[in-house]
Amino acid sequence: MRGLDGVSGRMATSVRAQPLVAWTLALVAGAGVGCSWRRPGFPHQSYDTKQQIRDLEKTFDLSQMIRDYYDDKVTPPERKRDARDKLVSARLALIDLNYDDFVSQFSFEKQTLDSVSDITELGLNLATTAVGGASAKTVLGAVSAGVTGSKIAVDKNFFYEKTTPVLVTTMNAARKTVLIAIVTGMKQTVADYPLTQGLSDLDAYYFAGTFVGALQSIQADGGAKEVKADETLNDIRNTTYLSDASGRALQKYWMPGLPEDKTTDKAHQAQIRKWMDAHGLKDLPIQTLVTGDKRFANLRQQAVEELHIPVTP
Amino acid sequence: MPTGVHTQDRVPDKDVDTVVAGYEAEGATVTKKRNADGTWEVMATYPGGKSGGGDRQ
Repeated sequence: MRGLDGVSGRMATSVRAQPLVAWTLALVAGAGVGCSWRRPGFPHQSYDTKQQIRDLEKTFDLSQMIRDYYDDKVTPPERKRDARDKLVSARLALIDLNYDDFVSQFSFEKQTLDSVSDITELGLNLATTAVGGASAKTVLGAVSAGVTGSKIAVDKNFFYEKTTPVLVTTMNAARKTVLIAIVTGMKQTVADYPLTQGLSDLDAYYFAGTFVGALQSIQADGGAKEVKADETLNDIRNTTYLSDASGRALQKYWMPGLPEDKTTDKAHQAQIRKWMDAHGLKDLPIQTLVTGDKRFANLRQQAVEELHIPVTP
Repeated sequence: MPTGVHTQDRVPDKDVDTVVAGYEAEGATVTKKRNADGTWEVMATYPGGKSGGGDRQ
C-alpha cells in the first residue's frame, strides 16, 4: 500500500494514520453535508413561512382582486375602500413574508458556510497533527489551506463581505419609509389614495427590500450629502470685505512691504498656507481668510496666535 | 490649493490693489468691478474645481 506521497520509507506511518484521518474527515464531512439544524440566530418559528406564503397566494388571487375592484357590479363604490385596503394588506403580507425568508436565508447560508468551513478546517488541522508523516502533513495542510482559501473566495465573491449587514440595514430602513406612505394612504378615501397609487407604493415597498434598491438608496444618500457639502462650500466662496487687527497682522506678515510694496514673502505665505491646510481650509484662498467677513474673524485670530504673529491694535 | 471662483465684495478703494495682489499671489486670475458706492467687487478664478456662483453676502 502506498503512502500519501508514495515513498516507502513513510509508508508505515501513513498506513497507521489513515484510519484516523478517514474517521476525522468523515466526521467533519457529515457535519457539513445533509445535517439539519435550526438556523443560527433565529428562534423557532411558530409557522412554516413557505407554506403560509402558498396559502396566502391561494386565498388572495391578486389579479382577480384587481379585476373585481374595478368592476362596479362586483365592488360598488361604497365598498371600494374596503376592497382597496384588503388588497393592499394582502400584498403587504406577502411581500413581508418573502422578504423575511430572503434575509434570513441569506444570513443562514453565510453562517452555515462559516460553520462548515470552520469545522472542516479544524478537523483537517487535527488530522494533520495526528499523522506522523511529513508528506501527510503537507497534503493535509494543503487541503486545509484549500478549504480556507475556498471560504475566502466564496466570501468575497458571493457574500459581499462586510457590506451585507449594511445592505440589510438599508433595506429595513427604506421599507419602513415606504410603509409609512402606504399606511397613511390606507387611512384616506379612495379619491385621495386610489388603488393605482397603492399598487405603485407596493412596488416601491418591494423594491426597497432588494439589494439593488439598497445600493441605490446608499448612492442617493451620498449624493444628497455631496450636494449639501457643495452648498456649504459655495457659501464660503463668496464673502464681503472686513478689516480687523488680526487680518491686518496677517496681511503685513504676508506682504511685509505694505502699503507700497505688495510683493508676498514666499516663506510666510507657505507657512500660512500650511496652517490653513491643516485646519481644513485647503480650498480657501489666503486673502479670503485675511480680509473675509466676520465668519473668518475667529480663524484669523487663531492663525495669528498659533503662528506667533505680532498684532498691532 | 484653492480652486474655482472666489469673490470678495465691498472692498474699499484704498485696499483693492492689496486684495487683488493677495489672490494673484496664489495663482488666481483676478478681475474687479466697481460698485455704485465706490467699493469694489473682486473676483478671483483659480484653475480647476467648481464655480462658487454669483451670490453676494
